[in-house]
Amino acid sequence: MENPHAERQNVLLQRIIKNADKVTETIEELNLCLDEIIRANERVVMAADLATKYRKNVQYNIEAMKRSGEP
Amino acid sequence: MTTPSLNPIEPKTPRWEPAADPNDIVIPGLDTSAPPGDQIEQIEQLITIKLQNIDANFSKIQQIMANRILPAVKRYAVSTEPVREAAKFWTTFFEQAAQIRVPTYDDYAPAVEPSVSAESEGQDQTSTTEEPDATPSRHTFIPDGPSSEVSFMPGEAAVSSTPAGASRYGYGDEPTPSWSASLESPLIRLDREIQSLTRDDEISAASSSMADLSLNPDKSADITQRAPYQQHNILDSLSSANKSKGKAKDPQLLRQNVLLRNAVAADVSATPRSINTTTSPLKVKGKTPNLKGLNPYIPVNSKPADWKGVVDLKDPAVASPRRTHVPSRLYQPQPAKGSTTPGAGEDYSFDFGMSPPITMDFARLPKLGKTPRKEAAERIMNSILDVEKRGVFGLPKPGTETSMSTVPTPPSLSRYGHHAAEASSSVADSSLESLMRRVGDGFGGNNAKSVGFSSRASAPSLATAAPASSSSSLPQYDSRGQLSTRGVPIIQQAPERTPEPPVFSVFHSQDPELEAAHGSEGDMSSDSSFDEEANNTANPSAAFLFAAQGQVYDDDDDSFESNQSMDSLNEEDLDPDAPVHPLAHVIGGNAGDDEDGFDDDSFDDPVYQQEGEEETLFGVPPAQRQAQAQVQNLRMLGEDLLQDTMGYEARIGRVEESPTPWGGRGG
Repeated sequence: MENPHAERQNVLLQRIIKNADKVTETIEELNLCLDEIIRANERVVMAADLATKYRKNVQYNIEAMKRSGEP
Repeated sequence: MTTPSLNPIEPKTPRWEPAADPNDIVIPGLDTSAPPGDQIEQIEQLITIKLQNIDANFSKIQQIMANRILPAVKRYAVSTEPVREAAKFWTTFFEQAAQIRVPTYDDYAPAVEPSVSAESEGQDQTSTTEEPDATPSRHTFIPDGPSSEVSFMPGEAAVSSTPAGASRYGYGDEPTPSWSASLESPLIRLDREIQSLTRDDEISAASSSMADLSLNPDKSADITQRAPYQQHNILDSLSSANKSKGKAKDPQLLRQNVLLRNAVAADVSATPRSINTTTSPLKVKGKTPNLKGLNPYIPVNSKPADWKGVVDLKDPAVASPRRTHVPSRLYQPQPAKGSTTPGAGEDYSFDFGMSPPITMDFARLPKLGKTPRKEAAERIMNSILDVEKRGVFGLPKPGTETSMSTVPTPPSLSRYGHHAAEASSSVADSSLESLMRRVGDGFGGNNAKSVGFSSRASAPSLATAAPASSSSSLPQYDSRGQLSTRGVPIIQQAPERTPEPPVFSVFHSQDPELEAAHGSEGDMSSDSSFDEEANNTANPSAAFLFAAQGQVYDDDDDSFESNQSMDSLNEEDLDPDAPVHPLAHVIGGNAGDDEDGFDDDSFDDPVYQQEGEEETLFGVPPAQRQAQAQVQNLRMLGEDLLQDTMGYEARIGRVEESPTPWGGRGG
């Protein structure tokens, strides 16, 4: 009695499972790609941070010199 | 940039929780009024539909992921490659500037005690705010506590630390590992070396901060960044230690200091001082070694201060001043010897001084190029006086081939004449004779004669007011015409002396004035003009150049140059064109573009070869030549000068007593 429903549902479930697996694989690949990008951009971030820190240091030093009354 | 319109993301629906009580289950869409069987059917159908939806969603997800997201991400990764390259450059730039090492996940450099820059503390506030993501690799300037806090924030840790990622090596950071390896080992070495030297307190202070930083072993990044600081400190301590040792530095220390200075210079220029308080470029000054002691030319076991500046280039030990780079500085601080001279002269003299200087005086020629004219002139005068004393002037070898032949000597041969002329300048008996011999071996003693005459002539010219100019010309001699000679007027002199100036067009061509002045043979007017120039310069070089020219005027560029140089030194009095001519003559000399003399050379080559050592076949008889040369030279150059120096008159008088009657020029 429930077979028609169950059968239909089973079929659907099978498809769902298949799709889920595929999605999972895709997401894993996506994660790998993003990881690589992040690793690559690490240096970009570093450079940006270095530049920012450099600017801050310079700014700080300039202000310090101004405070100390640089001739 | 317009992004595609995206569907608004639906808010997340609350998670469905199964009803605790089955009686409370509410199923939307279920016809609750229907009998249970129907409701079950409905529920089954609802389930099926839901499953279908789920399946549809999953497939949709998979399709979008595989067809749009993943390719887009990959395209992004590829297109941002230039950004990464640039970032790589800038990171290395900053790292080198600050002498630090910013490790990335690819490097797992061991933690080296860093040196915390004092001023970096001021940056803490900014740094703490700065580092939201606080990846350990970015802790370049972060000092201790706050930075560690920032970097190790749990929230950030999750983001910044990717242990899984850490295992993923080789992602585009290949160079850094090797680089870090190369950096660390010397750093460690230096660190050990510094053990004995002064240790910066910062290092010890930094070590305490290191403890904080080293909390998270995964974040090895923070520590390595200090390494460059330490390196800096190490180098500084080394340099300071070296300085404390005084001037008695080992070559290695000197080299280290030089390297350190270079590094510091780079650092200073690139980074703000606040970052690198450990290094003080001002402290690192170029330590000039004790130049006097390093003078390679001073004789062994002699005081550097006593060095007269006279170098016998014949001595192979002293032949090359460029044994080290130090000599380049030696000449500058040389006190009395007038070290400061145009550097070009130095190059000339030493590079080309190889052409064997015959005598010591000759050897001085290169030095003259670098020394003040007056001092050099004085030396030349002294040397010439010495030669005079030896009576060289009056003893020209009969066998020597000093041919005053006017036949132009080919450029190749003129070299020898050049040497002879140069040698004569040195004014030494042996030198003259050797020169004569040499010249004879060359192409026939044109130069020898000229040399002899030049030496004599130089004597009267010693008294000239501008000895420096002559001295300056001497080095040019050495260079065999490679030096720029300004003594164009000398060329003029040359044709005059030769009784038969067949093709002195070379001279003529060089100098328009000369051309005008020359007629073809013994232009008296030119003599006067020469006299003026020669006398004005009043240099011994001029004198003997004159003599040399008289005989070798046909010699191509070389003779020109040497002669010219001599006169040119006399210098500024000379025609401005003079310097140009000799060079042009020399350079293009062989090309024969400038001068007709080349034509003559072509003709004369076989002639010269035949003539061999004696040009008497074509030139004036030796006696006549000598007489003429002497007379001419002496007359032209010395007469005015003789008055200045009584001492030379006697000698010159001897020389002038030539049986050969001359055209009565000058005199």
